[in-house]
Amino acid sequence: MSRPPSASRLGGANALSAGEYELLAHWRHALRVRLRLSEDAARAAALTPAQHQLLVAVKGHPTGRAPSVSDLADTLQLRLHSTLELIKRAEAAGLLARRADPSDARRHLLCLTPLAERRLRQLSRTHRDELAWLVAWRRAAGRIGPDARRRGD
Amino acid sequence: MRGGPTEPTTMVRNREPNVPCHDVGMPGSVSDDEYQRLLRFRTGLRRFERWSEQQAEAAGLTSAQHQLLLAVRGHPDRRGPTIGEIAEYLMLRHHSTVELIDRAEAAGLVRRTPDTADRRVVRLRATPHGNAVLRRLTRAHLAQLTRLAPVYEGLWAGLEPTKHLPPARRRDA
Repeated sequence: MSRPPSASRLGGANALSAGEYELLAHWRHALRVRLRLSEDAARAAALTPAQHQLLVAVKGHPTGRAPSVSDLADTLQLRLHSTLELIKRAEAAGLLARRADPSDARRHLLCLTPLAERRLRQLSRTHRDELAWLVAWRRAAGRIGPDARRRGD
Repeated sequence: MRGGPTEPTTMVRNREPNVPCHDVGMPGSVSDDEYQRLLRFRTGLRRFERWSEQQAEAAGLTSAQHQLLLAVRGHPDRRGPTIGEIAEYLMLRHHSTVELIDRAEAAGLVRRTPDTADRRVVRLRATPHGNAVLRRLTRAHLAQLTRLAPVYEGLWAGLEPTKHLPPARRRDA
């Protein structure tokens, strides 16, 4: 996994420095590596990368209730139609269950099945690695901001 | 599933298929809080990437051309990257990389130059036009990251690598 560069590689206040291009390019590359590792791990756990992200979106939905289709479309940044297709395939694969929203019977909420929970547990190390990656990149990301602000962009 | 009306102790015991929303609090599992962070990260990243694609398109570039220019300009060796290095950097197959470079060269964004020491090696440089476009895009990206930083600041709060996150030993099997 690519390591974040040291903050000292960020340079001058006026022109964009070589270090800033380098940092952004390095970050993008590290991101691609991180996402690829996650995709490979998903496939090894018998999920497509899209299904994996769908399960994370259901599991990580923050409002204290199961997410609706439009909640998932928003977090996955997909069109409603594509989200529905993805959900249908996940249901057929035994990963998701639909139930009526108790507060609005016309709306369906999505839940993980025990199989989906098992798949996510299989991917625990990947999820921890991704969180560790975030922590490792925090300093580098934080250093981008003040430099950009000083230039008045 | 996450707190709310369900009692966790009941849900752990209950394996009925008609109650699929359960949370088995196994030791070593990733917590609900950590899943929420993962999701916020991924959602934020998707929004950023979509924004970035729109910026590239507004500047007359494809997103791939933008990433190519950034990889060329951000390459630490001032002589410029080789095609193989770009393929590795962008995680593309050699064939796709060559096609991307062909189109970017035709668009006047990069040019191929033979290595001064080894004429068989081709290196890439950004053209003045490519540099100017990339400079504008990079300024916009740095400014956007500055705007987003406070929004995602909470992602890291309380995450202590030594406490919660054991070092990666190997890839998931």
